[in-house]
Amino acid sequence: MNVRGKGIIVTGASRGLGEALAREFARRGGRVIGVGRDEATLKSSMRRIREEGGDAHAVVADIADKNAVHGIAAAAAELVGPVEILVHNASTLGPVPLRLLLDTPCEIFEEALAVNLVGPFRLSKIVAGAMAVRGSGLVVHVTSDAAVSPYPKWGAYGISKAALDHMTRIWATELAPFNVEFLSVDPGEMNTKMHADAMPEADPGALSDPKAIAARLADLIERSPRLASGSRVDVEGRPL
Amino acid sequence: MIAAPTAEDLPRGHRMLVVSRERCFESVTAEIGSMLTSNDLVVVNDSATLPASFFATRSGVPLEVRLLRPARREGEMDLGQEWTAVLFGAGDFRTRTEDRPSPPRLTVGDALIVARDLTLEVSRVHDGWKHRLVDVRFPARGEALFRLLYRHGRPIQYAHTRVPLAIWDVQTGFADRPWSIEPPSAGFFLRGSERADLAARGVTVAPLTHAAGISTLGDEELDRRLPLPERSSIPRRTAALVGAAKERGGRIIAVGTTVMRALEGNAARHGSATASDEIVDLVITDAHRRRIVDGLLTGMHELGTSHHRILESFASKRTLTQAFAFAERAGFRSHEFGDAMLVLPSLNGER
Repeated sequence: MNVRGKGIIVTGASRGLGEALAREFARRGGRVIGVGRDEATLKSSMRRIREEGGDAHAVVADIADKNAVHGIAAAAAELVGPVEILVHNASTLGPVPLRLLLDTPCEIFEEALAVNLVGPFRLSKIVAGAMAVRGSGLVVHVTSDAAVSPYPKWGAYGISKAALDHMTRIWATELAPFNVEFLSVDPGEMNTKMHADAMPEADPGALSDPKAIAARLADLIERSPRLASGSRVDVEGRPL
Repeated sequence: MIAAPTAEDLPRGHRMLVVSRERCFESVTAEIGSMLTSNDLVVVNDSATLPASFFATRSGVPLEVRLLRPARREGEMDLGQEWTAVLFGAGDFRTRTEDRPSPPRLTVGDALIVARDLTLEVSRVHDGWKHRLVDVRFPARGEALFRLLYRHGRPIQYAHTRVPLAIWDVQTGFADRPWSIEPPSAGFFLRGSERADLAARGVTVAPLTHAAGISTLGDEELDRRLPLPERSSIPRRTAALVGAAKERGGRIIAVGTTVMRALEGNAARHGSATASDEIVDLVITDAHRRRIVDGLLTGMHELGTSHHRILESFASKRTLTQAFAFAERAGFRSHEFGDAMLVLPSLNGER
């Protein structure tokens, strides 16, 4: 699927991988909606992309807020529609500093599910529903190896991503007749604020540059033939 | 007929009255697929429903502002800062629309305070609309406008619902561009499961986007001017699918009267189904000769409304009177969240 001319939503676009994805898609001619909670940061990120010649708009909203999703979808449809690519990148670690499940407040656990799983579910219901009657579309879930490996203290986050990966598979199966495709992509460890929050002692030099990861992810999306819908892959497209 | 209180989640879907020249019988919406073939094309209205109702005060006096459509300047098609709106007096969904008091008389320059961060400025009062139709200007455009709309607007409410409708109660399962003021409610009948069933049977469902308008202006005389002209967009792919279905003798099934207006209005202007984005002002009456639409899936509607007149272009008055009498005896439910009606020319697949 060529990115040029397509309407694209990226959540968690204020910084990190989300911002890098918004920039990369815009650079390739995509028409981008960046969604984020932090108005000032999101707006300046999208503005910088526009100054570089890209087509990017800021939609300030909290993906976990049930009352916000219809506004996100409506603004995207009207400003850059039809939306053909939806990237669920917005994530929360859950408790920071990370801690054992035994020490994780229930409400923080629920919040991780709300942001990382239910929010994407709600937004996908709306956007993929519209994609289905158009007979095409791609939804990408950004995942993590914490969804597979039971790292201690990564419970809330890892569990939400494991569920998100299963959602990829079920959406893919149910919407196959409508040619709407789903992928889980694990971008690996990147030099971002989220990584620093999770592992403050990590050496940034050993981490990937989100800009480079974003370029590989965009290549993955533009690759033809496409990866099988429902796949869980790394940024090179290798099955995980 | 009894007005339905709320949208229900039923395994077999809603009760559906099937009306055709041969006979009329009761079925369920889950069975729609079984009445169509892969030759047919189902067309839906993929517009999202805006939260078009704003409660405001003008100098402390309460009123309700219901957006009708963007107050478009010549050549402008996008959702913009200025909107044409209809005014209602104080009251909410617990009061029937016809029992609401008249709104205060507004003048240009009036400030309608909705919230701390939203004041609508009256930029025009339309002549000949009993002071009920105005243009209002929002203090923002683009993304900022959407944020204000969705933060402070509420879906237009109906007096027969038990609790206020939330934004998610008034969307179809394929809602996309936010053009509709009230839901294109026939689309509720095609849930994911019905669409999956249609896909399994090889029946294509294709979208168009049509701005479904308001059902009442709160005044009997003004309501006779409905429906107002509405923006309508038919994508290239859908126009091509319509043409192909017609060519192979398949039927075009419109899901909702807005789809019928869109397709028939488009054909009346262009001759055959053509990709377009324009204003449709066609009003379908019993005299209308259908060029495109062969069948219609719609909600049960009361006799005498403009929706009922659309049905008269499919079936004789006699057939419809019998059908509605059948529905009444069988306890079918009317209005926005009620039961369904499928009008097909014939049960044997003919047009």
